[in-house]
Amino acid sequence: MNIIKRFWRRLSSPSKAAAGVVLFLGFMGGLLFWGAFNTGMEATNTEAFCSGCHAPIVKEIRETIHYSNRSGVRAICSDCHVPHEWTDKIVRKVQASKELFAFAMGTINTEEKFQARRGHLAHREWSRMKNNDSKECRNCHQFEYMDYSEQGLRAVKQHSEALASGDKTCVDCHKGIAHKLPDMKDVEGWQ
Amino acid sequence: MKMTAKFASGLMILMLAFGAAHAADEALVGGNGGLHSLRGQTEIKDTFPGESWKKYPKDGQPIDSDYVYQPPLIPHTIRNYEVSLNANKCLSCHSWKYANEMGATKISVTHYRSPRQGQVLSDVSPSRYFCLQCHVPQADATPLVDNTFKRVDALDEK
Amino acid sequence: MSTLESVIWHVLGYAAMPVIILTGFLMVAVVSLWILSIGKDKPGR
Repeated sequence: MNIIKRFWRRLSSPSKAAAGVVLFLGFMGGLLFWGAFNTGMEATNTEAFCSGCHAPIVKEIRETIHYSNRSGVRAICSDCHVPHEWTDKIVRKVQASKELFAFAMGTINTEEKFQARRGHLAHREWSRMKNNDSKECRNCHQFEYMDYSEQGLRAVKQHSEALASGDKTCVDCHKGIAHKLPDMKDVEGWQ
Repeated sequence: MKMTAKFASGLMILMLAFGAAHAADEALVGGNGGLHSLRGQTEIKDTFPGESWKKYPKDGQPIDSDYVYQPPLIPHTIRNYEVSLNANKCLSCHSWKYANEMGATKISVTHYRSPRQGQVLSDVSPSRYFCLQCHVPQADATPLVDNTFKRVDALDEK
Repeated sequence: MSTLESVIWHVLGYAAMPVIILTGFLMVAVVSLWILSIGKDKPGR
């Protein structure tokens, strides 16, 4: 209690140093803090970090087109699973405390436990993407940017229909585009 | 030894053979005769640059069958289309349930029959579940060997 | 994720934002005051 009182008194009394010095310290301090905070947060977005717990699923993306393709553009974990806007990102990072808890409890720390839980995890991500209208897909892909003359016939048909009707979002059809599929029984569009 | 004509000629022949063998060391003389294959006449020890990658078409018109009961060829790329116990991507477009909606060819009714007795089943027979055991896509590779195969008249388009 | 769970995480998430800002300010203040105390501005005039 005493230290708080002292600290408060120190804060509320004028400084002997020049105003410029105090302002500059404040500015630099704020800059460094913000940079350090966001750098730290981006470190939790790297593939290496996610692999720490989710190694089997990170391995599955390695054969897919989002990892290795003609143009060499790669999407890593955070591109699809973490929102890009700062406010939404913070909400997701706070929500990640649930995953820290699961890590502590060892919910998926063996291959068998992971396989048993995959369906639940997959459905959670799909419903999240359905609810936000495949926002993460649209970070890179947009109907308006598509060159239909370059696409195959099936793609042209499906994309122009989905665009017109508006009742399908990317993830409705493109399940399994990045990772292997869980048991698809009772999933609409799959047998 | 006395240098008789016989001896001299024998020596010369020996030297000739020795010289010839030396000179032709790199050639096929005394070697394995090379290898005659689709690449032509080559040496076993030679390595050749690899062939260029073949491409699968992204999409295309359906490919006509060459013989009756041929499992139809797949006219589009199937990269990363998962066919496993968990999911069958092919069926998500080609099963009778979704084919109309997706505008895809329905799988043949034979796929809904059990393999031995031919009983009609209510869903795709497990013996037909793994599509790629019979159906393949076509890459843009030219045949290595010419052939004179001709379709039967009933399938042959003019 | 149910609506309730979603609401809870959004509330916690948005509440975390001022916490981050304020904690940042406090940390910067402590460090700055320490730097100032090295120079002329000693506490306890």
